[in-house]
Amino acid sequence: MSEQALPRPDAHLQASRGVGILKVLTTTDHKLIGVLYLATAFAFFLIAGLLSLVMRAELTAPGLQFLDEATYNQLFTMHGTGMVFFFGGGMIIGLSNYLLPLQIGAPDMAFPRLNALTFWLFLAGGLVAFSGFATAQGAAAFGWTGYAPLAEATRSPEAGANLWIIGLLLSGTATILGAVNFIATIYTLRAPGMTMFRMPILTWTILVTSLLILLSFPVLSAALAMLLIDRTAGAHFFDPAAGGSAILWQHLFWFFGHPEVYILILVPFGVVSEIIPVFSRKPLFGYHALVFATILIGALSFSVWAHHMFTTGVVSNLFFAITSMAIAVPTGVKFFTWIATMWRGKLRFDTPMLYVMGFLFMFLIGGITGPFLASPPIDYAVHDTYYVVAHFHYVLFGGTVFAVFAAFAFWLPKMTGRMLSERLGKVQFWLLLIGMNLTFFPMHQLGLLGMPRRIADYPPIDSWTLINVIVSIGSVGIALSVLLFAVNVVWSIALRHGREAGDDPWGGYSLEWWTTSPPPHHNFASLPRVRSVRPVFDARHPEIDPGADDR
Amino acid sequence: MTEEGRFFLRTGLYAAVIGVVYWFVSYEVAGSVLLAAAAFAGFVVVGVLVIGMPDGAGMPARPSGSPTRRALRLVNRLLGFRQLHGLEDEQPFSTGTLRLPGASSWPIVTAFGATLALTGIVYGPWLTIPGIVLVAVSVWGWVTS
Repeated sequence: MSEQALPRPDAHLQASRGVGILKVLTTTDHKLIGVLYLATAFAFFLIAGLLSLVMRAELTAPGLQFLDEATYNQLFTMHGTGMVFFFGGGMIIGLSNYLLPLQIGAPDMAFPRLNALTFWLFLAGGLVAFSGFATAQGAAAFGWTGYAPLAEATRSPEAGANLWIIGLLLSGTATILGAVNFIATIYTLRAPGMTMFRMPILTWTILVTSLLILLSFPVLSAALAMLLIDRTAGAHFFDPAAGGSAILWQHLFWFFGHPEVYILILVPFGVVSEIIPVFSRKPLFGYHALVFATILIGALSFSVWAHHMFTTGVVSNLFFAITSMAIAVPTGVKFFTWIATMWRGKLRFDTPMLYVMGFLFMFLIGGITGPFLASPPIDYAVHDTYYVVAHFHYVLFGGTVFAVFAAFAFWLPKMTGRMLSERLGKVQFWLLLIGMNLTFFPMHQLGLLGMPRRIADYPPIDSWTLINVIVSIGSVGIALSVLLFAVNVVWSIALRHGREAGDDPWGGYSLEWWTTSPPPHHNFASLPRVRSVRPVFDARHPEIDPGADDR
Repeated sequence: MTEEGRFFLRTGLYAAVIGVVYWFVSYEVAGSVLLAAAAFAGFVVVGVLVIGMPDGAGMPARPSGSPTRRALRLVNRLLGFRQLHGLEDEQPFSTGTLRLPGASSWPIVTAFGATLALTGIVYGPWLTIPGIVLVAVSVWGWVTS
C-alpha cells in the first residue's frame, strides 16, 4: 500500500521552541501547560508514594516502630489527598491538556489564559494542602474523606486542616475551570469534518470526565466552604450536637467522591482505547458502543454515591446496591470491545501495550471486587477493612497508574521527540506488576481476616504480621519500578540517548500523529481531511474506504 | 438538535429520572436536591445551546407514520447516538483565521492573589487584603489587556 507524503508545519511555527523560566511562568500554550501539569502530578505521586512507604515501614511489625498515631493519621490523610487530588487529578488534566487540542486538530484550548490560570491554581492548591506539614500541629489528620464531625474544629483544631480545605478549594476551582475549557474546546474547535462521532475515544472520555467534574466538584467546593465556615466562623452545618448533620457531609462528599473515581478512570479508559487499536493494527471494535458505555458509566456514577454509606443505616441500601452493580454492565461492554479489537489483530507488545495488558488484568480484579462491595451484606462485613483498600488500589493503581505509564510510553515520544528505552520500560512494567500484586492482593486476605484500615498499630497475630511483611516488601518493588521510570526518562530524553521518534513512531490513527514530534506552536500547519475516526490512517491509506469504520 | 446538545439533554433527563426514583425510594432530601440540581444544570446547558446555536438539521420536513413511530423517531433524534449532520466540506481553520492570545502574566498573578487571599483565613488579614487587591488588579489587567 502506498503512503502519501505528510505536509510539514511551516518554519515560522517551529520558531517558538525553548523553555525559559519567563516562558514557563507566562505560557498559554496548552502543550507546555500540559507538561507542567504532568510534571507536577508526578512530583505529588513521588511525595504521596513516599508517605505510603513510611506507613508500610511502620506496619511491617506489630507495635509502634517509629511513628505515633497522630503522625500516622497525617500520613494516610495526605497520602490519599496527594494521590487522588494531586496525582490522579493532575495526570488526567495534564494528559487532557496536552492531547485534546492535538486530537481534534485545534491550535490550542478555547481559553488559553484560563488554561494557564487553572494550572497555577492547581499547583497552589497542592502546595497549600501539603504545607500543613510545616505547621506546629502538622497536616490534616482526618483521612482524605474529611468526615465530619471528626473534621470539625473541636476534634481537629490544627491549622493544617484549614490549609487542607483551602488547598482543595483552590485545586477544585482549577478543575472546574479546566472542565469548562475542555467542553468549550471540544464543542467549538474541532477540525472540519470531525463530527462528534468521529472524535477519538480519548476525546470522548475527556468530554464525559469534564461533565462529571462540572456536576460533582461544585458540590465538593460547597461542602468544603461549609466546613471552613464551621471551623472558622462558628457555624454548625456538620455538627450534630448543635443541630447540624454529619450525614450531610457524607452525602455531599460522596456525591462528589464516587464520580471522582470515574473522573480518574474514564480518561485511562480512553488511553487504553487509543493504544489497543494501534498495537492490534485494527480499527477499534464497537466505537459507538464504547461511546455509549462511557456516557452510561458517567451517568450511573451519579446514582451510586451512598454505597459508601451502607453501614450508616440511613440510606436506601437496595437502591444503591442495584445502581452500583449496574455499572459493571457498561464496564463489561468496554472490556468486550477491547478484547474484540485485539481478536485476530496483528498484536505487538511494545511497552505501551504491555501496560495496557497490565491495566486490563489489574482493573478487572478491581472491577470484580466492586460488585462484592456493592452488596450490602458483604460491605457490612468488610467495611473499613483492608479489603476496601485492596479494591480501591486495584481500581485506581491498577487502572489509573498503569494507564498513565501506558500513556507516557505511548505519547512521550510525541511530546519530546525521543523514544523511551524499550528495555528499561519492559523491566519497569514487570517490576510494577509484581510489586503491585505483592502489595495489594494480600490486602484482600488481610481485610477478610478483619484488619481495619487506618491504624498504625495492630496486635501480634501471626497471619496479620506475615501478610503485612509481604505487603511492605511489595511496596518497595513499586518504588523501584517508579525509580526506574525516572531513570528511563532522564536517560532517554534528558540525556538524549533515546532514538529519535519521528512524527509517528507507532503508526497512530488520530490527528496528533499528523504533526511533528514535538508539535510546533499552535500544533498544525495543515490538517488532513477528516472522514472517519482514523484520519491519519485514512490519509496514508487512501485506497481503503474510510466510511467502513463509521458503519 | 446537535449531538452537542443531546449530550447534555441525556444528562439532564437521566438526573431528573433517577432523582424522582431516588426520592420515592428514600425520601432523603440531600441526594434528591443534588440530583435535581444536576438535572437543572444539564437543562440549562441545553437551553443555551438551543438558543445560542439554533439548528434544524436532521429534522423531518413533516411528520409521517403512526404516532408511536413518530414518538420513537423523536426520542431517537433527541437521545440517540446517530450522527445527524457533518462538516465535510469546510476548510481547516489552521489556515490562519483563528487568533489566539500570546503569553500573559495575569493568570499566575491571579492565582497567586487568590492563594494569598484564602490562606489569609489561616494566617490573618495581612495576607488576605493584599491577596484581594492582587486578584482585583490582575482581573482588571486581564480583562482590559
